[in-house]
Amino acid sequence: MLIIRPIDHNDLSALEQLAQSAAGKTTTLPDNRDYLSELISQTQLALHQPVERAGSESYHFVLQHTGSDEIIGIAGIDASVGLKTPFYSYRIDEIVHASTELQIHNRIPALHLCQDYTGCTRLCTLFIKPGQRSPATLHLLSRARMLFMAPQLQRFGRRTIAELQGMMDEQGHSPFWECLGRHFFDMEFDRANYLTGINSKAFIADLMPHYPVYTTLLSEAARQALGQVRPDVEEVLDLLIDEGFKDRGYVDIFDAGPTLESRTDDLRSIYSTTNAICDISEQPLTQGHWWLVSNEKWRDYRCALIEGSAEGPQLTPDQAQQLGLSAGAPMRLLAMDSADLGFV
Amino acid sequence: MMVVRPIRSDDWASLRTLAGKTGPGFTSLQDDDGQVQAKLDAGVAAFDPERAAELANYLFALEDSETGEVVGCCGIDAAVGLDNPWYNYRVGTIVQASKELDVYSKTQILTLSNDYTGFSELCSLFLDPDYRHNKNGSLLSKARFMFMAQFADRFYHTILAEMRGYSDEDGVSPFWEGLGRHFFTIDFDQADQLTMHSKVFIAELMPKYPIYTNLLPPDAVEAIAKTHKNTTPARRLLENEGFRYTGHVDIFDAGPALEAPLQDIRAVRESRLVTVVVSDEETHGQPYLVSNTHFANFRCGLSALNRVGPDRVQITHAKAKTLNVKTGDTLRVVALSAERSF
Repeated sequence: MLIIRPIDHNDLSALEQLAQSAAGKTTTLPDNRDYLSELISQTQLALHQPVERAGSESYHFVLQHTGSDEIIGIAGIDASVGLKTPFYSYRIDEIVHASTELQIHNRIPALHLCQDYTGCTRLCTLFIKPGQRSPATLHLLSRARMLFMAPQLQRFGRRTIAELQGMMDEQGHSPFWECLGRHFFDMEFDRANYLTGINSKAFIADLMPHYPVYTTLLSEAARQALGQVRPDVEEVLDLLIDEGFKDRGYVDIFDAGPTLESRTDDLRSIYSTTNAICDISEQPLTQGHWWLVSNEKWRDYRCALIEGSAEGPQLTPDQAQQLGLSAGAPMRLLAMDSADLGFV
Repeated sequence: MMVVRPIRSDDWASLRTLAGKTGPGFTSLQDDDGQVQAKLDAGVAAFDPERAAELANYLFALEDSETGEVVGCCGIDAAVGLDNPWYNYRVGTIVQASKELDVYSKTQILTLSNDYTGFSELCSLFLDPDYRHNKNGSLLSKARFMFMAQFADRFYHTILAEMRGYSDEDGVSPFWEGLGRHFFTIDFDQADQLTMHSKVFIAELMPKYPIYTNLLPPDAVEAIAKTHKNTTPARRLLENEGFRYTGHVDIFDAGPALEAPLQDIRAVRESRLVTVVVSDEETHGQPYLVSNTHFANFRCGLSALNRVGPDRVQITHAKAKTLNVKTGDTLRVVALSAERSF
């Protein structure tokens, strides 16, 4: 059975392996032992300290096979970005230049460097080992985070964002980076990305052009890349749109991938959860209705995908044990769409 | 003798003819009745001594005193940018560095500015192609320095001269194609001509934020501060007089703006006031730039001079007549060009 739980220090080597197979494709999962060790510490710290308001806490979760103990995925939440180091975005604004005299009316889009998302909660570090990725594992891993947040919204921001990787060409180059960032950073895209990942963000302020950039001056390929996702993350985009995330014209400053946003309490996986009582059975009713089930706990958070009936799931003793639940204990449920999970 | 003098109302026909020969790209004298009339009227009004100095748009004519024909013109705008804003791009440098990463990035940037507001501008210089010889061009251009030297308090402390920017054999301006076109969606010629009527549309349409030139096509960047082939001689003449490019270019074609402090212009600085003696003695030697010290009756020409005292020179009757001077009057004199030193 696949289970989601907070990461702990025993997971360090597994985490390093994950980072290696990610090979830099996920910015916040850099192949850097110190950074990864720190990532684990941050999660444990955040789970153990009292938090009244969102701060720079970060929470990471692993997706694990209970049978083999193999860790096949990771996902994270930053409670509030931009508080320690600035969080930069490019906002695409249209500037109107008009002359009544000449009957000319031009709407020129320009990229404005901004920090508008300071204070938002950020979903991040979503990665599943190649070969293990499926709609079910993606939904489980991604949505388990929302189920975690739901009972403790005061620990998170009023808005939540999610960044998606931007367009790459067949050679693995980012046309947006080649056209813009490269001129100012004088380095390969991967390196800039890596440095952002290990939180060395001071250099962005130092090197990024501060004046707005008219998109008409970018190359055709770079312009096309604005707000476009890398093809392999399209299913994540669909999932997030389904959750209620919206594209408001903000993109990543390096690869122009879209940053989606939503009011946290408007996210489907947050407002549609229901409370239930744990019901254990040796022969649970499985009628093709799927449920995301969590144990409502904080430090010992567990979440899994369970098949049940239209009213809810019954758990086998093993499932209950893996989820840290006993009969009559409170649990949180989210109804899942079998089509989304690829089970139809 | 060729003489430079203030324009007159009865120069209309000659001026209109000249305007028909200037061709596209010569925006201050276009083949257009209305524009030429306006230019003429303003030019005449400028020589009214009662008129406020900063409003004056002087226009001078180059006349062949033998035929009475006007074969060239030149102008000075006493102060630009006082009614409509005067725009240029200021060429700057931005350095952004990260010690942490050992990265150093230097970028050129263009910022829209009105830095030349209030400056006096040399403009409207045109010489009939048939008369482009015998130093006529130098006389026409530099006569203005003699006038400004004499009436310095009617001008700004720094003088501006905009050079036409680079365009290729097909008349295409790479800078316009790389930048302006994106915002104006009209041809360069149209935009250029429109500036004569109104510059308001520039403010309305031009990008206001600074432009990083590393985002422009290479041929556009190369054209920054580059002069049109036909304008290169004018640029050299002005540079020899002390004009310098100091980092401002035209917003449409990126032609360089040259400037010089009025008192540092060679012809101004080295000119001397002398007393004139008029006689029939032939004059010998190199011709000097000579002008009288009158305002509405300003005259400037070329003449060899016979030194007849420490601050006295002698010229012929013919020259004196053309220059509107008699014995005892004051002349301003200077070598036509910077002396060649060894």
